[in-house]
Amino acid sequence: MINKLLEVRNLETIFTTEEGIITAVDNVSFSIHKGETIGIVGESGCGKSVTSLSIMRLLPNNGIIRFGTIIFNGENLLKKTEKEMRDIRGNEISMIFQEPMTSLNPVYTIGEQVAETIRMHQMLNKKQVVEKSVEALRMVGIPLPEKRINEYPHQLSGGMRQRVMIAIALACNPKLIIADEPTTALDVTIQAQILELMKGLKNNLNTSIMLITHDLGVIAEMAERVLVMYAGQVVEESPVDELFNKPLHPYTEGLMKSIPRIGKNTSERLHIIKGMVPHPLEMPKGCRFNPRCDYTMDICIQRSPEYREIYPGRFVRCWKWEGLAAYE
Amino acid sequence: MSELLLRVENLKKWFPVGGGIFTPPKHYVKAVDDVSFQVQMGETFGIVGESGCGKSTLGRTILHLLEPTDGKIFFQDRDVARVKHKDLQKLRRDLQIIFQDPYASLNPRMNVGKIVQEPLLVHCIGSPKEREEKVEYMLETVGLNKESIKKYPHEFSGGQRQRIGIARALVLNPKLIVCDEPVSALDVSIQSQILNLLNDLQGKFKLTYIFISHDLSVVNYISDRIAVMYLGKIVELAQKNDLFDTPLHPYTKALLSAIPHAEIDKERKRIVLQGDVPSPIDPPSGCHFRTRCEYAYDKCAMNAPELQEIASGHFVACNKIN
Repeated sequence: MINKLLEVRNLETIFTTEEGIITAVDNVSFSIHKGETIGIVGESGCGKSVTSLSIMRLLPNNGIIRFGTIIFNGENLLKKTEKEMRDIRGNEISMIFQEPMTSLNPVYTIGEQVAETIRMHQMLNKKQVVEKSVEALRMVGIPLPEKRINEYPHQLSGGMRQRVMIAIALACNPKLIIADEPTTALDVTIQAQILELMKGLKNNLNTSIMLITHDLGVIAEMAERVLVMYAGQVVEESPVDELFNKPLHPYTEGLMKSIPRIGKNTSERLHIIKGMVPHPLEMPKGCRFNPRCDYTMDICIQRSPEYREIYPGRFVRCWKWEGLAAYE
Repeated sequence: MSELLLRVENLKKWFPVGGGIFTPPKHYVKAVDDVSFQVQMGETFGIVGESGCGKSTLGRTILHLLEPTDGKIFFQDRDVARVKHKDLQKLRRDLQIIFQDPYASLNPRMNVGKIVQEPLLVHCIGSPKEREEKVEYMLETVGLNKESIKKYPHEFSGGQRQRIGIARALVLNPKLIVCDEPVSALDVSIQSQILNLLNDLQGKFKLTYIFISHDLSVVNYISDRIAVMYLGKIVELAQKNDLFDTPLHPYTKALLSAIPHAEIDKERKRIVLQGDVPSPIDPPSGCHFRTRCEYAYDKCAMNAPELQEIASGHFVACNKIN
């Protein structure tokens, strides 16, 4: 299909550690269309960040992509040389990280850091680079960008630093932005500003966004389609409104019920997903969610469920829905 | 009629900035500036605010972990701020704290049994056998099994560590516990487990909580009354339902509208505040919120509004409303 910007097929990423081989991402497939925002939710350790690092080929030394294809704009990223990848990173795919404090270099001015990306990918003279940096900073709503380019990260607040990160990510008009928990370190009122900013920029530039977060509220606000990850696997994929109206996978359902909500009767107890995320070296047999699931059946303990399309556009990995898929 | 447990009057905690041994400080960071409120026995008093608003400093000053600059803190009619060091230790039996970061607040070289027993040792309570029994009972109460006594903190997950922290706080049978962002570092599914646990324990041990958090939905779930702080001052204080149904202060309104809801929207109008929280070293004159407030007028630059009771139990500090 022509409008598929990114297609990840059967991705498997492993880490070799002293204790053994950890499969951080297990058979993950999804695609992102042009101009679309896709949200990836899951708790810590579910493999959502490793998925994004695999796409960028930025895994640490002990991480290996063992299997799968990543097609970006018609080309397989896993076949590219390191040099070719450098032309893509920051230029066609860029990343926004969670911690604006640690992902900016403290000893360079923010102007230099924005300019670095531009200089790397575009043949421009010095004056043009400065103009373009100022333009990028203005676009993300930094007041007086002509002055700000000479300031250092420590002179800016958390929200402003995150704006700088977004400016760097946008500097070369990338086709895809991977935002890994972009607002988690920020206060609510600042988070609201950044989310509004990202929405506005996306509509103006028609960039695709892959938004990784643990906050279902942010997902509801930003994403068009959602992937839910658990223990290295995608357990559910759905358009956002259908997911919130009727979550299919028991894990998604549990997550939604366990958030305290404003305006809801607070005298009742919160819903609990019992137990905790399994250790990556001791994955349960069968469905990985079965020890915590409210609907566990015999088959759940014996065999791992397939990832299937149950309704148009709605995929789920769960035995509970298996019968329905066979029926259709 | 509920009994008064804690009364805080005009509490101030200023941190000096600059200056040396012989020169006076150049500025003060007014982390807590003239804060007054009361907490009833058995209730959960929530404090919300963004980073740097002074909510954690307030919590620690109440426990006298930080020396207050000025003001009074009455715990059951005894002034915590003026109590002698010797008596303070006795008082601390009744006052405990649960910290945010379950990774940093447990000593990695002590096993869980020792960690939970330490408060008993410090206060010389019970015989060794009694102490051991108490520790076992406490761990069981917070949902950890007996085998965990011999384990070390690194063997536990974040949620379990937070349970250890709770057991340690509870082992002295305190009356008041300050919970400083106890669930912020936890995943959603674990967060709900801990919140339920805190609720159960409150019923079981007749505890009073001061619950500090930046997460409005969590505070809403657990609290009876809520104070909203901005730059060292309480800007609004009300019963939970009053605060969420009819927020009065423009900051509270903006804060409530800023939370992304985990549901598909019925057209919500969001108030997006402009700019950042001003530096606490040099806060704006008059009302601290005026630089970001859409209703600010000339009076706000001159007059710092006082916290006033608008409706029964609903206090707000705003020039426009007062």
